[in-house]
Amino acid sequence: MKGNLGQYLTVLGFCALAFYSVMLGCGYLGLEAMPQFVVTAVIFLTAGRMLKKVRLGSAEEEEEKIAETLRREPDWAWLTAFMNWTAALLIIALMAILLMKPAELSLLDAFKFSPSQGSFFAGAVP
Amino acid sequence: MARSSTLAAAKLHDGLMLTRVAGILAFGLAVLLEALVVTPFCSSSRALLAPLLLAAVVQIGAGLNEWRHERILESVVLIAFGLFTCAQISQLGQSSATTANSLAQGAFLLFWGIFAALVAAQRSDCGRSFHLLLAVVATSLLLKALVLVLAWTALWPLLLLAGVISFALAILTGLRYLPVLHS
Repeated sequence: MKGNLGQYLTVLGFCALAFYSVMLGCGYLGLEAMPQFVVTAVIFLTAGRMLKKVRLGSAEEEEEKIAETLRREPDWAWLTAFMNWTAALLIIALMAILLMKPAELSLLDAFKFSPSQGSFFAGAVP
Repeated sequence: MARSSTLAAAKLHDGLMLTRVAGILAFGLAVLLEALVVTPFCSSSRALLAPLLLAAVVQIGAGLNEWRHERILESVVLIAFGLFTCAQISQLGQSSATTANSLAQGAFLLFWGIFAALVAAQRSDCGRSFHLLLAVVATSLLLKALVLVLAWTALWPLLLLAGVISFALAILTGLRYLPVLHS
């Protein structure tokens, strides 16, 4: 979102112009509303252009920041903890599925005959 | 020499903050006054023309000062909404026969509401209260568009509430800069 504001404002300006053109073309809107819409479109387009220029100017600084971030050592302690928690959650999820399914059914059959599959009705589709 | 240059820089900074506070307060006041136009309390909208014009001039002046100090986003917001207030003034000044129809007015307000929402979602060093103010302004503009297009005049209490919240947030945003002025 941060860098795209200029583009969004430019699109908004073109939308304002297009709306007024369509309304004028269809005869719904008179010339008295033209200054409002034209000024609005000009403000949006100019603002979009200015913000785009600012973005181009600060692009080098952003690249430097990204390069600095990439140069940093990875936080191995945090990554290890993250991996451990992910693995623990996966194991708990698998055990929960195994406990909840009926004992006589295999895992594949349990998925195959689940209530959501049974309630699906495709008879109306030709 | 170094001390005098530091003092000059501090004065320049104070000047920027002062105009910014004035611009933000004028912005909030303009939103409140524009909300008042729709309410049944306002018998004559022409009485609001002078304060609205003053608010627009202060906003544009503050925006130009922000531009001089290369604060583009704040400058864009203040100048754009100053010009928007000018457009609203021209609408209030016209008689009902010459004003554009409600759909066009609704679309006009919708575009400005989207603009305010887009800028509110942008990050800047103006603080959360300023972005919250823009978000409330966006809501207010979209509500006003609904009132105009769908003729939901019963929504005026919400509009008034949005105007009051905007003004309160403008004061809050202004207060945020006061310690900078005093230091």
